[in-house]
Amino acid sequence: MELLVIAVVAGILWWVLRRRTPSSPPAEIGPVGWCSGTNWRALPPLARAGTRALLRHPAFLAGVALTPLMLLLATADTAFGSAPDSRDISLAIALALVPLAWLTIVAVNLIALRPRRTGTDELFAALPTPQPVRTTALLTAGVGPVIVAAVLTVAWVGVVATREEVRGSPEWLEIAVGPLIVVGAVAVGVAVARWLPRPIFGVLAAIATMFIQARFLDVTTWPWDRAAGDPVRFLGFIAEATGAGTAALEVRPAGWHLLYLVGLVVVMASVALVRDGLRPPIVGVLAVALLVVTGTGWIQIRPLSPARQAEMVSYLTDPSAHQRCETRDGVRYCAYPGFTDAVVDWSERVETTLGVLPPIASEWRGPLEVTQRAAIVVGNDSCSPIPYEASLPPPVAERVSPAALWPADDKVHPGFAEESFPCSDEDVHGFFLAVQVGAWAVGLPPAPHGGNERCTATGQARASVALWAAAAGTPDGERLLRAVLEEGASADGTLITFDGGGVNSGGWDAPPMWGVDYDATDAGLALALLSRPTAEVAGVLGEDWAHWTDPNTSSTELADAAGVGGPADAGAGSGSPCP
Amino acid sequence: MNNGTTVELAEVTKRYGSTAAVDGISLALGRGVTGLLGPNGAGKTTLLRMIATVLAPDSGAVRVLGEDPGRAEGRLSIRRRLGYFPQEPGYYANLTAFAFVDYIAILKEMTGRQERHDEVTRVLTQVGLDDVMHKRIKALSGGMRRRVILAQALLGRPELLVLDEPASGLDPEQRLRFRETVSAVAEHHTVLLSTHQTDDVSALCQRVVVMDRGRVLHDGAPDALVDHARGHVWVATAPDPGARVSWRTSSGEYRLIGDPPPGAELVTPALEDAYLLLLGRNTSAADGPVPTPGRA
Repeated sequence: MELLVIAVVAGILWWVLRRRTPSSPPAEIGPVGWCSGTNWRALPPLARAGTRALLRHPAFLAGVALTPLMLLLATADTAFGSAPDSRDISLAIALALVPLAWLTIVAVNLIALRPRRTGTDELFAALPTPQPVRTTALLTAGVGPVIVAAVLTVAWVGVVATREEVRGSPEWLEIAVGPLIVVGAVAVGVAVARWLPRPIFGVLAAIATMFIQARFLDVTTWPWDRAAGDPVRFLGFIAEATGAGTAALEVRPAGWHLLYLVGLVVVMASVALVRDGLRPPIVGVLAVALLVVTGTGWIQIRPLSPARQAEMVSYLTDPSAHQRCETRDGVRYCAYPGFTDAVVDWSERVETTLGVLPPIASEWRGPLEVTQRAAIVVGNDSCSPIPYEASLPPPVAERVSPAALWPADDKVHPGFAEESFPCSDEDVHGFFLAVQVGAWAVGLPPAPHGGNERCTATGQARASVALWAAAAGTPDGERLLRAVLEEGASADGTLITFDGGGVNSGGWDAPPMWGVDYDATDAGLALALLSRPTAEVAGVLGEDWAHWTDPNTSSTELADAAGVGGPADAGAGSGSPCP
Repeated sequence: MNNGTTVELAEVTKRYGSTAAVDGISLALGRGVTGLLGPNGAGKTTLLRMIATVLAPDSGAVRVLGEDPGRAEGRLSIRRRLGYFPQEPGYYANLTAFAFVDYIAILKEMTGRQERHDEVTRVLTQVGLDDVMHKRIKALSGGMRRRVILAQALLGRPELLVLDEPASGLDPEQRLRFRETVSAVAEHHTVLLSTHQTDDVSALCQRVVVMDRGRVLHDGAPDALVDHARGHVWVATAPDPGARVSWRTSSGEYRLIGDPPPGAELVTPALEDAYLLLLGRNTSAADGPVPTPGRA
């Protein structure tokens, strides 16, 4: 997606620049700089003229045309799943204005260089309005684009607000970053024009901001490798959310970041104005702005306080101290604040999954506990899987161990994020959770533990039963199981591991947290069982539940009993066998 | 500044590398139209740019409207009272003539919207663009575009009007209108007009300065320049190798300029004859090529 946007923006830039004619030699003296007797009353009409020029500029108009599309893509259901969080949407809205900011840099820069490009610079040099007034007017003309950006933003917030499934309220401090970067774009465009008066430098400035932003967004590229949760990302223009999954584990100094950006804007505006001389007021403003940038930069990346670190560690390692629990139909559900609404969805899937199994399936395991916890592997913004710890602030990550975060507790564990296929918003109707429930019912580990440790149950009847129950208890379950079998297969195609192979050679960005690497052959048997009436299969299982959940009972035997034809011999499988 | 003197130059020199574009020129200009004649490369544009405050001299003193353009405050003051038509003016082709001149009016510190618009309308009407003032400049002819630039130079009734080849590309009717406009301005103000058109100088200028190779060859009334040519222009039925310049006229006779042979049929010289004679002498003195008539 990013490449597509960059390609579109680059194409527009090329088209705009191609239309320009070469410039004539500039005047040697040029306009007077800071000068006593300057008439600042020319500023308002000049700013109005600049605003008109900017709002009509092809590059800016292209940015405006592109922005609704960007907003649509950034806030579409596909980006957030079925229960999007307002904070994530707020960030996405701000991010969607970035292409407009890039094109605004180019538009402002071309307008600032218009006298040079059109050969009117000698004529303009002989006019009495000094360059500082002209520069200030152009900076002030940025009000127009900012109003456009703000209107687009507010309108889109209104559109998003109509979506009932969105959780929480808009976070205006995050949203305001979008229009503010458009303000910054105006300042950058003018400053570059004043110091490097060639249109190519405006384009290069836009590219440089892309590069800077990309460096701060990406986590594993030059000039430094960093964790996704490293607060250094706040030194970029827009800092995306981490994969921590909950605001409680995400440090977002939104107010400071906004002030930091304001500081950067003022720095760039001052840089533009000092081109005509180091006037004390401007130097003073520049100095204050640099202090603000430095101060707010430090505040954003300063280490977390020990108390906040301890609070976050406790949140992860002692969930009972933070979660709210309730019991439904004998199943205990525990969710973190802000996620308690999800319990309804969880319980529905638990009930339908257990409901296809014979009653003894629930009785022999004792009470089921469904407790929310972080996934061991989460996706980043590039749809790449990263360890969950990497999304935490580094000091917090250092204080938690995988064993403490993900104990082997035989509980079903829904995560923070919506279940989804890689980089997709497709509603899987709780199928991934259902597989955990099925695994629990047959005595397999529902979820991985420690450093994503999973076991194999290759050739075991209970593995097929777990997958069958999940698919049978989930709407569209058969198709979902087939998709998982296809897309989650390992490189050799024997196991469902989600770590590469299948059609997602890079691995799943947010794989299902299953405690078992299911064998593809056993999954095939589960699909075959789905072809039989559910009650009939449940009847077979209910006749001797202990036998079918015995690790020594093979899936071949189950196939024979259910009359669906035996699966090919799955062999012993790899990995450690499940207990 | 002396009484009535608008522009004063004293030993002004401007060099580009080893070439002196303006070589120690001293001039004092006052009210009325002063024509600046000279071949390409004579230094006219360089001189005008220095007077228009967009170029600094290497040496010598420049005072314009009583101000020193070397100081920022001086430049500011001059620019408030100056109308300038550069040799290669450039346009914002996507703007209408009105919008472009209006924008320049803002840069000329005309901040009152209505007064400014009235003034823009006035100057555009004055140059005969009232019918097309709301057309985009890119849709106008070359002559109209030059009149747009002339219009902006007239904004605010400047005390000093510096015009660098403003009549290039104008048709005869437009040229007459141009003369009318400039002569009206010159009734009360100073106009410095650089041109290759000697007939414009004859028609408009109370004073003519002829430049070549950065120096002033002649500074005085056009008639005085013509007087220098008396006895050096004749007509004949055949070209004369002794003439500095000669050409066949529409009547079939040759018009010759130089030192006439005995018995030659002398005619009354025109300003163009005098200009060519002057340049020819200067070129001979420098062992350079003989100039040809017309625009170079």
